[in-house]
Amino acid sequence: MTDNKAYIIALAAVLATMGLLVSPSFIGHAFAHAHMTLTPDIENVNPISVVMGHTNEPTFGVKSGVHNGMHNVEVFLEDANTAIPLSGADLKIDKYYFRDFRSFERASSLDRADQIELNVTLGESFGEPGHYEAEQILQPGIYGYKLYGTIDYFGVAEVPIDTTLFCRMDSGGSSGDTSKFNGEGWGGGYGCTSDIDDLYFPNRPNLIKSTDADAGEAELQQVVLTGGSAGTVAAQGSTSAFQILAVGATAAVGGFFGLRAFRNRRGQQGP
Amino acid sequence: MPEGLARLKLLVVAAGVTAIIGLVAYNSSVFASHSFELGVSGGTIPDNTHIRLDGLTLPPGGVLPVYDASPNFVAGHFLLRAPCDDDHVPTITVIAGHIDESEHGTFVDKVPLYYIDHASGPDSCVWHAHIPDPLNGGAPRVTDIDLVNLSGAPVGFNPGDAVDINVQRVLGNIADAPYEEMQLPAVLTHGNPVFDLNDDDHTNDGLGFEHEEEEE
Repeated sequence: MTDNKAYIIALAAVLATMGLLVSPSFIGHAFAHAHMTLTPDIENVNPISVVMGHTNEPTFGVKSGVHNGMHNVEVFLEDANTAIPLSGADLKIDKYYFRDFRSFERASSLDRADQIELNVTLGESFGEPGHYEAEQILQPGIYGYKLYGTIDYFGVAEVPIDTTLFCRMDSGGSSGDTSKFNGEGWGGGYGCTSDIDDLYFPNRPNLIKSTDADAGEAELQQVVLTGGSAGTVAAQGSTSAFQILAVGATAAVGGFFGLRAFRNRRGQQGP
Repeated sequence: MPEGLARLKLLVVAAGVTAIIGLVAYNSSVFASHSFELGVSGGTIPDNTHIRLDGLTLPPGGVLPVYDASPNFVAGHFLLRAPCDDDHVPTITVIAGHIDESEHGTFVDKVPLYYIDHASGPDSCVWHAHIPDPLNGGAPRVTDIDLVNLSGAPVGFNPGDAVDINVQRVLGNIADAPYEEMQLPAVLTHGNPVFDLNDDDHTNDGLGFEHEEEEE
């Protein structure tokens, strides 16, 4: 192998390694939350930033063996001017659930929700000032929260908050205006909860129909599960492992050819 | 050594180093997933800056930059020991905010200071400040802290004079929350607001402290 060839291979190894290092920075995760700014008419109190949403957006309903459906309600409170987190708030939420948009559309008031849970405490996350959470496991559908309580503004005032916000249905192929119960001032939003079956590709029912072997159906479902949603979780973990192996292997190949060229060159030069 | 061979060796070494960095980087991300472990939380940097001022003289209009965390705006604690007047106002002025490459993105203001009588000496006073101070004023988002001589006369510092800045948290990126109003250092006048929790005048305690009346 000539020096030029070895040089090109080694250069390719370096570039490939750099590429593998850079690639994870382009893998982003959605973080959709709603935002509002409270402007209390209270002396010495500056505007307060309120952010509300679900942990781990986008959200999917629980499905046994596939997805745990755990997407907590979370609220972030900050002094809007300085971004200093506001600790010590006394916050609660009332939860409202509609199973689909038709049910939501028919409801004339929050009392008509398919399920209601009242007086749920939002606890402050340990070690994360200004971050409040309530644990929950979701089903596919439309979730809204009435957020109320008081915000401790650095010990000089207790600021009341009372507002309602529903998830948005303008993503994931579904659409519909879910804002009729929302309080004023909200911008952005968190997504409504989808059925994780929607992630299957190819579409599972179609795939099952395409086979005429009854005995094969169970196997096929297993294949789809492995390669589909369950595989998505596994894939995230295996991506890093793959990249580590790829980095190591690429560097090894480059090093091997480089070293061989180096030895050949020394051999040609002789003692 | 022929040039081609040297170039080849350099590339081999570079490939090896890159691979090691890659492995370390990926391993770090795995360790970071153990969120239950105690340690520095995301966005927090333990950082302390200590600057001795003794022997320095700032001429009129002189500026001594003491901290710059750009592009991050930060929260922390500020300590100053410096010459002061009879009202415990420092003869130099402490300013903070964001000094941008563009003057239109620049906003600085005077830092509200708490005079600490029981730590002050005959020649120099000691002050603390909260960076930022949402209750008592000053710039809300601080990337830069400077000492400026706006007194019109040279300011000489005494033995023991110092600045100590402890930054405890990154609050955000100034690019995400830029100042919409411009305020340059040149428009500021001499004299920081000074609060005193220990004198008999409770109107100058500032906000955020509860004063307990002592019973006779």
